Amino acid sequence: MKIKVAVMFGGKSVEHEVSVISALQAIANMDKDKYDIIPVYITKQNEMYIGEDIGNIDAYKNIDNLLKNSQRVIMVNDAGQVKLISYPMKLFKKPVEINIDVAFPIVHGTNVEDGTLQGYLKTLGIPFVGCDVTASALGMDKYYMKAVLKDCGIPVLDCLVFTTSDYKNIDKIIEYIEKNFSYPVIVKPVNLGSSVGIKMANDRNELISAIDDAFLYANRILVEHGIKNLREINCSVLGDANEAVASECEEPLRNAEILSYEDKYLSNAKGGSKGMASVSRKIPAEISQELREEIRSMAVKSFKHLGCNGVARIDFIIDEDTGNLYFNEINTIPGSLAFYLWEPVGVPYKELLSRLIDLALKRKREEENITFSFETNILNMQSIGGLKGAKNGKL
Amino acid sequence: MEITDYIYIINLMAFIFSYIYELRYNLHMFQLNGYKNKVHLKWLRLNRQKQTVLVIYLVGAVLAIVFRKPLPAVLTLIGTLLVLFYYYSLSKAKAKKKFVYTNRVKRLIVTNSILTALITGLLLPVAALTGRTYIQTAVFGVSLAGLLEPLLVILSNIINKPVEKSINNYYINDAKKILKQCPNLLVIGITGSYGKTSVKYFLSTLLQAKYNVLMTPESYNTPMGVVKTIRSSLNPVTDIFVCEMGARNVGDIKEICDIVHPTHGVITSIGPQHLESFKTIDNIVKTKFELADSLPKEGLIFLNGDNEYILKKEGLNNPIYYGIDNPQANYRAVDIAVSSKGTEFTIISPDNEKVRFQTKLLGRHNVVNIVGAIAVSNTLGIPLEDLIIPVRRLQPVKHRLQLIEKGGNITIIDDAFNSNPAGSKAALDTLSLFDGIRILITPGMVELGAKEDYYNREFGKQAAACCDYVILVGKKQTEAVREGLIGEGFDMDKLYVTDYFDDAINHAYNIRTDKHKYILLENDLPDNY
Repeated sequence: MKIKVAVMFGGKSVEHEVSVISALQAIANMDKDKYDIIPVYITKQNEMYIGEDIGNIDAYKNIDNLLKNSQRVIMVNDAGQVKLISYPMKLFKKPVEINIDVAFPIVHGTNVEDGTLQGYLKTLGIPFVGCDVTASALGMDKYYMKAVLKDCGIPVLDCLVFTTSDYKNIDKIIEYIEKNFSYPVIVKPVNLGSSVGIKMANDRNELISAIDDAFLYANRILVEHGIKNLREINCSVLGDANEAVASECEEPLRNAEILSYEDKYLSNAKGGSKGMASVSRKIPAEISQELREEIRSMAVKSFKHLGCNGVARIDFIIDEDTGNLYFNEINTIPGSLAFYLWEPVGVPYKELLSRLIDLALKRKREEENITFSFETNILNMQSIGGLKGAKNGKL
Repeated sequence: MEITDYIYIINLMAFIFSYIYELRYNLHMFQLNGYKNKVHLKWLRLNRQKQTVLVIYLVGAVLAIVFRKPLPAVLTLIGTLLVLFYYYSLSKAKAKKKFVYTNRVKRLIVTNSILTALITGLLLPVAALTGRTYIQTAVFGVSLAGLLEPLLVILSNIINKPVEKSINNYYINDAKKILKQCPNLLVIGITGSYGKTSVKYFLSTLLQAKYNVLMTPESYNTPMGVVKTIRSSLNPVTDIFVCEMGARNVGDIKEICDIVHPTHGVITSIGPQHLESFKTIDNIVKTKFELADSLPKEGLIFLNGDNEYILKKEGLNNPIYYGIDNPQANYRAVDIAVSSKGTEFTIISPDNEKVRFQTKLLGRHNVVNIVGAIAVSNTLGIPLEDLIIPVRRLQPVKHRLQLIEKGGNITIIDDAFNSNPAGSKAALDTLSLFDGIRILITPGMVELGAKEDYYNREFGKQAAACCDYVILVGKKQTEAVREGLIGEGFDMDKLYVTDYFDDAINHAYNIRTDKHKYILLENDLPDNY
């Protein structure tokens, strides 16, 4: 019996397509001797589909056609066993039923990576790969994440947060930003990954358009001081809140001032669907041994403090003028699952994927143990009486 | 049609209900007796006073066949109603182990109903020959069937046997097929006269530090219980299947081993339990070691090295001993500090590694069981250090020396699960750790064969040494315990004997004292005692 893994990807997110690429790449590398893999495509309307073509990247050129040739399913928990069942049910036709042992969400961005899908899977009671609800939500919210990390002494850039109600009076926002920071500043939506909506502003005009742009993608935005001479160093972490290890460090090479969405996913359009793995980068990053170790240990510390699980990629920035190192952001489900950072330290992609699934099962075990200890403590006299009071108490 | 006939018709209808409840009761008891014909027959003999009410049917049958007059008819009807009322009230009584309508029970009901109908139907031609009415004969027939009902249950079981066997075989083969599909699955068999359920829980908890574990739930330890667990809960994620194996007869363990093919085994203890069916202690030893005999060549057998019967066994393949007293044991607990708050001990591994463990579980015998679980887990690749937290988190198994704070000045030590001489001694040892008023509530021990009285007397002597009050439940049942207590000069004012458990508990609650009361509930007897 192989472990049945549902690899789930897509979803109502701006990074929908990237997730398809990441997921199909992962499926190609999973250990087929150990796992039966069921690719589950989540459409932009949050409907789930399975079928022959769902695992075939070329089929995604025509999604309407793909869906027509695939089977829509819903996920249900039937007496403890989670299943994919064909939907809508047809009269006189036995529905397709596929048992699932583990869910493997490879989704990016708001509405999926931010704890939403994780909460759904948790409600269904199926073990799933990656961060739990809280860590996923924290990882997606750049502001809350900073707050938690600050609390445990990880260096983060100071920031200001604005909501849509502040947005009504944009002049006040500008005034406030200018009072606190000098140009350049960076404007980001609070809860988006993959660089969408992030812009650097060198003057007031650019700031206004950056704010307008950011509010297109989110209801809360964040502004921080822009670092002129910066280097970005990324490091991946694998494990859980108790035990985690860091990968090799990389330095992404940038065309524009910040790594844009185009840089990340569309830069080598000809090569096609290589995802994050294809962004031009230096691995290992050309940094001193001490800095490498500092980054790696800071990565592990942040990972544990945010309560992460599975594999995450943490992006650090270095202010070249001051030499300061800052935690910039975390990707709780990184593009391509950051496998390219693990191969240099001797973890092949196949093994990385198996370890992720083991971590999912471990967390499920631990959760069950905790629940178990509750059950035994709620006994009271009444239940003992009931248990023993057979035939009016006669023994 | 005369009025008598109408009364008899009403009687027939009343009989249907009375039949339903009578059948329900007998099937319930049959279920508790494990669907075993011999055991159930013996039970029927011993407990015949419980169903003396059936004499009414005999009288009814005679009245119905002899008279066709209103008065005997009414008497017969009243009789049937009385039987109905009796069994109905039995069905409403609270049961410790409720009657479960399994498919097997449903099949028994069908066979039983057919038998009843046949008895009645076959008698009908008699009516034509002897000039009695069909209705009269029908009442005669059903009354007879009602009278014989307890035996009809056994007859139905005999008739259904081939069907049951083929159904069981189907399930067993299905479970074997599932196991075959998991070539990497590790199966650990656990057996023993006592401690096997505790070790099963402890081992599963410890192994979960590293592996995905499935265990047979509660005290499922029969072939069909094991098969059910495999068919319903074993999934591809499972790394290790921890399988409890129970035995009442020679060959029982082998039967389970032939289904699950254990990779490794644990024998937690051997002692005089179920002596009634085993006859001799040698048979028990032989049966428990069927587990060791079933292991593959590389298979390891983990043995309680403190147990005299286990130690006597020689010629074993890869034995690993664990324990407290035996200095030769491969895994040994030393420096044991036992208190009412919990227990601390140091484990010495075969590599001479020493690690200190703490647990909130009580008593030395729990330490032995934990050492067993540690021995297996460590041998299977979990470092001792990684076991510290799981050991700390171990929960008492329900009704096995489970400490329940009742608030106020009362603490209950619930050790209600199937008792045995070693277990009840351990419970008394634990009770004596507590500083306060120590109260024992017990119905004594059963199923100990010829030496039952001896063990109960010993139990009474031990209780006299450490209890302030003793409450015995069941006058006849506890006679030997009482003798033991008196023999040790236990204060008769502090001994209370009752037939009701509720009364016993109330009595314990009402004992006046300023000190903290510790109430030990030792042993609980099933509904069929």
